[in-house]
Amino acid sequence: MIQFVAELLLPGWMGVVLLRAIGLRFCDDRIGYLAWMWLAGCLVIAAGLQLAMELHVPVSFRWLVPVALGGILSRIRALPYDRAASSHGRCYALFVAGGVGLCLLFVAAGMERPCIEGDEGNIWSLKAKSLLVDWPAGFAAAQVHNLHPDYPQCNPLLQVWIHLWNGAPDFVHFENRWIVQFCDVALFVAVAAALRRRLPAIAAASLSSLLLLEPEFQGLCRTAYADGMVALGLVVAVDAFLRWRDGGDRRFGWLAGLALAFALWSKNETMLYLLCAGIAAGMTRCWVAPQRGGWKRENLVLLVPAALVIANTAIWNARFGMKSDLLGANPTGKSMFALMAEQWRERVPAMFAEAASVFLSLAHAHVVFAVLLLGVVCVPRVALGQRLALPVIALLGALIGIHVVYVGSFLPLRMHLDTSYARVLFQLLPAALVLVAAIASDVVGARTAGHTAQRP
Amino acid sequence: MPRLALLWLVVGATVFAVWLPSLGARMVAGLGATWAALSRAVGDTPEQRIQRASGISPALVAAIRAALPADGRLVVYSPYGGAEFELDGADPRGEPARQVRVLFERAKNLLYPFPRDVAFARDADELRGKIEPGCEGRLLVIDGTQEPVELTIGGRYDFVHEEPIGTAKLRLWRLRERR
Repeated sequence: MIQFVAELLLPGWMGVVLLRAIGLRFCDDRIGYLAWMWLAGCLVIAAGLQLAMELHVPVSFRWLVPVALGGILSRIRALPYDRAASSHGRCYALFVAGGVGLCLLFVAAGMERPCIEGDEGNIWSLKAKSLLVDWPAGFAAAQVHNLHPDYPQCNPLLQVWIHLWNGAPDFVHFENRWIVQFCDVALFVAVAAALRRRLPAIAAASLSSLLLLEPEFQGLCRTAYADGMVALGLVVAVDAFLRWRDGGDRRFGWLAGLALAFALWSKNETMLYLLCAGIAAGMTRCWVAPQRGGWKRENLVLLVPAALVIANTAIWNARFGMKSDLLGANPTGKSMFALMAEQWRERVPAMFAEAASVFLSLAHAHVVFAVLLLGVVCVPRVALGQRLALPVIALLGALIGIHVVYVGSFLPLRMHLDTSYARVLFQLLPAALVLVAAIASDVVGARTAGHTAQRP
Repeated sequence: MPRLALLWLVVGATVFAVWLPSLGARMVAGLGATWAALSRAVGDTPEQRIQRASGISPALVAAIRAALPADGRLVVYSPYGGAEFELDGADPRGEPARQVRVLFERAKNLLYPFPRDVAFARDADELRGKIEPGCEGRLLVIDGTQEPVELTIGGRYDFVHEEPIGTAKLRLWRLRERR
């Protein structure tokens, strides 16, 4: 019992203190808060464990550092906050509780298979074990069989947290996933809260169900893949960013910054998404006036957590000599750009065909991307208007970026698509759902306002 | 409301009205398998679940760890080739190589860090390449050869353990003398 409390309740407590430090309380969003809490707690744990490793704290005492970090955060004077409570309605809360129950069913079913196969075994779990038994001298050498040694450390550090409570080097092969699997549960909760904020309960529940029924989501709930963590970070970042821009509540600006940092620390694809967001921010300045101060220094401060994560990952990879296969560390020795130049004639049509096939497949919820694209065409004044232009263009850019990566992949295209395409696209799906909801909400809102305006 | 906006709302609602039942039906169809997985997850011991999922039994793990020093090398070997077709999942000629890689990955990740050094070989030359000078007594081979012959590639071996897997078998050999 004490072990369970330590493994899963301490992250919750750490999330509470971090959210409190930026001024967010349970009453701000009684559903969304639970997801934000888990994300924030995972950030504190990962940061604390890396700090413990850098300080060469003995393995059996490493858990103390994240707890101490939580203690320090709890002493920070919270930012001022509005005491107005939000409510989603009892029926909707029951729907979310049922959805969480279904997610937990998938989490428990995942305990059937050990964490020794696929990316979860060969990338994430292997690195987690290595952080415990090879650190620091043998760490780089131990990554020889790691498929992507350059991937960031948040997921392995979270698994380290569980291993610390279960003993090393006699590793567990099932429980180590829990903390990552709960990020997928938090993903559903975050999406449900974000949709309910913009849509009536029945519509929000329908769109949230789409996520719940998506096979990739169910698969992620069973495993320790990091794609659900990326999706969680992105959807909380988009939701919080829109809340900040809509109401000017700076606490949500901080939440967006932390969520972006979490996504960046989860998997390298987020660097591509951040690049797209940067380009989108530059582009939209041509027709959208800067909101909430644009690039003012007080806004750039919100990006400090993300900048710290990028610097940390870059320094880590330089220190241990780890390189990305996209930049030439692959059997061909060629970079993604060189391979793109060679392969584009053959692969671009194949990628269009694959995208059409998956976007319109009844077996996946990826049709959300098609609906979003159609929204950009049908209601450009809303989708590319002042409120939504930046996140919508960033997401469309990210979609294009993912496809470009496959064009420049060194792996056989069919094999690469079969093993990752739907899963990687899924990283963007929850954020796309929220943007579709935001567009629909604005379209219907404009209609209501128009009718009201015509009344005598 | 502009017609295009209305069109988008109608198309969006229709799409979700079609996709939700379709995905729901698929999930309901898969609930039986999920429930069975849950039953095994709750009812079986970790060792039983590992053996069912990976084919690696507690006896094989114990035999490897008893026969191999911590700094030794474990090689998963199967002489049925297929390496050049391995990455094409639709080509059955690559199946033997894919099986070797899967077993290698499972063994490496399950046993880590005892031993840390795990490799695989899909033909005799690859196996010879893994046998370095001075590795007598420190090299263990998981041999997927199904014919009833002793392992003789690259040296002389001592038989350690035999693991039945369905109708097939895996044999464990320790290098006694390098040639």
